[in-house]
Parts: sequence; C-alpha cells; structure tokens
Amino acid sequence: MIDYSFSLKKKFPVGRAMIYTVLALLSLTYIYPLIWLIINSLKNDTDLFNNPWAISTPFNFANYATAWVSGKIGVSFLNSSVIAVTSVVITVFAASMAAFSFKRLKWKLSGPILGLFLIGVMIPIHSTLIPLFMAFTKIKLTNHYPALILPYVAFALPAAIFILSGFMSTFPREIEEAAVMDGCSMKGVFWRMIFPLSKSAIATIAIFTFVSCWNELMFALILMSDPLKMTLPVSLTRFRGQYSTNWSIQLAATVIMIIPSLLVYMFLNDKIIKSMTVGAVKG
Amino acid sequence: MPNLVMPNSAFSKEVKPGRRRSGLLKELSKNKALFLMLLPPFLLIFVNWYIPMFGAIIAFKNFNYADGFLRSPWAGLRNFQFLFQTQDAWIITRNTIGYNLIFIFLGLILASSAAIVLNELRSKFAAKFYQSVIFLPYFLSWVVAAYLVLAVLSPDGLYNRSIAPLLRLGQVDWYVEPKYWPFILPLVNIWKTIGYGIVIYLAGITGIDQEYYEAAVLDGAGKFQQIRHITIPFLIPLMVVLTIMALGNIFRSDFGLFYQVPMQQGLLQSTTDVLDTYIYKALVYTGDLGMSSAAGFYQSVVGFFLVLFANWGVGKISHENKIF
Repeated sequence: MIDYSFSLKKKFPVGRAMIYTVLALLSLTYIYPLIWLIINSLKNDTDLFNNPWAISTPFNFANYATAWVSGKIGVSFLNSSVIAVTSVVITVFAASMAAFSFKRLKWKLSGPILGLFLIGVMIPIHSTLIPLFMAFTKIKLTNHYPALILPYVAFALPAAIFILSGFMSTFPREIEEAAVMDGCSMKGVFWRMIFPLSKSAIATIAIFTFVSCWNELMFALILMSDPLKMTLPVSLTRFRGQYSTNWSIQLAATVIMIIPSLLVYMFLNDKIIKSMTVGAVKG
Repeated sequence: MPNLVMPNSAFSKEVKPGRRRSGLLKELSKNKALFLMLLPPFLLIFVNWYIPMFGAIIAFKNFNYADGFLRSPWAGLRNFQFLFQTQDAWIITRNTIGYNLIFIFLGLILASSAAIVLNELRSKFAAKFYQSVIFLPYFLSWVVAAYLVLAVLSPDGLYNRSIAPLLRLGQVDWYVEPKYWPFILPLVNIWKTIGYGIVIYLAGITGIDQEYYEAAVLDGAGKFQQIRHITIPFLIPLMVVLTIMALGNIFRSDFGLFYQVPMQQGLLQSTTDVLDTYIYKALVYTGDLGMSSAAGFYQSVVGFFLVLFANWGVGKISHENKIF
C-alpha cells in the first residue's frame, strides 16, 4: 500500500486554502445578489442606472410606499398571506388526523386507501389544472380564496401524510395505552398526545407548505386573474409590465415579497435542516 | 387489552383482513372517531385530485363553452394529431427531457461533492454557514431569481456594462439569442436548488458510522482515500435512489424557472419552452383548449408510467423509500 500521508500533509494547507477561497466566492454569489437587491430598491431610478453598484444615500423609501399602495403589492401581500396561512393550517390538521387514523385503523381497506392518498404525489398537476379551472369557472369560484386554497392543500397532503405516518410509526404504543387507562378518549389521545408529540414533523410540513404556497405561480396565474385577488408572484409578474421603466419600484416590490421567506428561513433554518436530516437518515 | 399489534411501520402490508362483511361494519362503529378524522382529508384529495381526472376527457373532445364539459362533441384523437403534427411537440419534449437530464447529472455531481467538501471542513461553524447560505435561494420565488438574472443579463446589466468591457468581450443581447439558454437555465437552476441536495447528502454522510473512518486512519489512509473508499461507496445507494426518483419526474418541469427566467421572450422559445409552459401558453395566450389539454394528457400519462417505473426501481434498492 502506498503511503500518501506524507505528501498529503505537505499539500494540505494549499488545498485547504483553495477550498476556502472557492467556498467564499461561491457564497458571495448567494449573498451579494440579495444585498444588491435591497440596496437598489432604496435608490431612485437615475442613481440605479448611473451607479448600480454603489450605496447611495439618502435612502429612498418612497419606492416601497409606491409599490405597496399604488402598485397594489399590499393587497397581494394580504391575499398571499391569507391563502398560504390557511393552506398550511388545513394541511397540518388534515394530514395529522389522517396519519393518526392510518396508524390506528387496521381494516382491510386501509392499504388501498393510503395508496389512494399517496398516489397523489405522482400525478403531474396539469392533468388537474384545466378541469379544475373549468369547474371553478362554472361554479364561479375563480378569484375567490378557496380556488387556490383547495388545490394547494390537496398538493401538500400526500407528502405531509407520508412524512407524518412515518414519524408517528416511531411512537411506542405504550404511551397511548397509558393515556387510555387514565381515561383519555380517542380524541384526547390525538389532541393531547399524538399531535403535540409530532411537533417537529409538523414544523417541517408547515414550513415547506408555506414556502411552496407563497411562491406557487401556475395555478395562481390561471385561477386568480382579478388584480384585487392576485397573489404576490402573479402581481409581481404583472408589475413588470406596468412599471417596466421603473426599476427601483420593481425591486422594492421584490424585496417585500421575499421578506416572509427570509424571516422563516433565518429563524427556522436550523430546524429545517435538522428535520430533513432525520428523515434522510431514517430512509 | 385487545388488538395490541405494534405495527412495524405505518406502511406495513400486514393489514388484518376483515373476515366477514359484518367485520367492516363493526370496525366502523367501533372506530367512529377515527373514520370521522379520515373523512376531511379524504374528501379534499378526492375532490381536488381524482374528480378532476375525469376532466382529462377534454383532450378527446372538441370543447366549446356553449355545450359545456359533457355535451361537447367528441373529437377522437384529432387534438393529439394536431399536437404531434406541429414542430412544437418535438421541441417541448426534447427540452423537457434534455433539461431534466442536465439538471439531474449536474445536481448529482455537484451536490454530492459539495456535501463531501463541507463535511471535511474543520470548522463546523463555517460548514454550517456555507450550507445555510447555499440552501437559502431554495426558499425564494423564481420571480426573484428572474430579476437577479435580468440584472446581470439585460442590455445594460452587469455583463454588458461591467464584465464585457473588463474582459474585452463583445456586447451580447442575451434575451434574443436562444443558443445561450441551454447554459443559462441549468446554471440558474443549480444555483437555486443545489442547497436541497447538499442537505440530503450531508445527512447521508452524517449517517456513516465513524468506526469505519477510525479503522481507516489506523490503517494509514489519508483523507482522499477515506473519501474514495468509505464516503463515496456509502453515498452511492442514496445517489441511485435520488436519481431514479428524479428520472421518474423527467416529464415534469419547474414552471417558475422556464416561465419567469427567460422573461417570456418569444425569440427564446426554441430553447426555453417545456411541456408545462406550453400547456399554460396554449391555454392562456392562444386559448387553444384542445391542444393544451392534449399536451396535458400526454404529460400525465407518460409521467404516470415513469413514476410507476421509478417507484418500482427504488423499491428494488431500498424499500423504505418506496412511495406505495
């Protein structure tokens, strides 16, 4: 066996320095665009064009006011919040109830029904988009919140049930028995034990569902065409046409849109990464 | 206490068969609460996934709004004939599969090597910092990514105003030249999505038993040998599973990427149109419901069989990762 250890030790500082340089440059391509976005959202258009790479004072917060009020980003922000939060809440409750029922019920149809739930992961969404659009048009549901909430929940449910069933299957049966012996009803077992114990899986599901609802574009484009009901991604896309020459306002609107995602990520990225890690190691 | 069978997993196939029909009814009345809990998610999925599937028959109809969904006259396979007679069908199929293959290949190589490098960093703080930074854009909308790309590539963007003069390169109008986009789109996609893969591979590496490395060090193995003979072999099953799953989705594409990043420039269609954007454009811009639903049906049917195949393949390697 050839001994590499000597040559390695000698080369290593160089290699290590190179790796750190590459990583530093790489992370710059991630951080700098966001800083650039924020800096330029605070300039007026002349500054933006003459000097896009410098910080210019005074900060022009008027861009944000214009985008929020006359650009109707405020309205879209509200729409997006209502739709995303409602979808997350419904998904979390429906998925945990379903997962719990599957854990407890051992009847002959549980296999096929669980399959029916999970197979939803596989269907490309467009097979449902056009029929849903036509059905919603017919019952005049387009441009109302449920038109997006219903499909968003339905997309999120299969994966959520998959994750939660896996998670709940690790709970020992004894804790439930103890609760039942203490006089807990089935409902009590679920609300007081299973649901709180599933916290970390529920957090993961909530975060990923929120982010995907907040950023979803295709269904939102087709099902919500009324400017007063549009979600943020759609109204930002429209914004590009409306304020096509007014760059700093477009950038301000973009910053408004990414703030919730950034906040969620900043406060929860530890949890997100940890929960993904647990899932991946388990299988 | 009766029926205390501890299930190995929620997906175990050991479903206790009901012996008589009355068994089912008894089960229903005994576990009323549980069945009631199952009802709302069941209805949600049924109404939003399964009922709309019958809508797929639009692809075989000559749809008009006056006659509505059921009474519109049948068109047989004419919608499909129109679709496959056009050049578009070939272009969107090629683009969808081609881009996906590039994304899968680049994602596999880059995410796993980045994970290995991050894992070898001595400073755990630095490793966590880089990992968090690279994962960040995964949580942002494509609309945002599209603006950032525009800031670099627009006629007075970073490239044409700063990079090109500096390197004495010519000006390029990126948004009218289709030939550059097969390079731009994979680059942007990797930038935005690689963080997810890195987290998964890092988790895989963390799961490797440290004893293997200790033994290797005792045998005098250097870092590169450890990576080559321990880390990579242990990651290969994970790589295979993720690749098969991605292959199962090769007929789907990220609508946001292909719709937003090229800024819907008509001149770029030959290299930026994929099935998903085509279905959207046929529905919204040209209002061609027949064409749109035929393309949707084509995507769904091929996609369905690909996922079945992928699920079967994953099951061969690791049973826990099977979806059903």
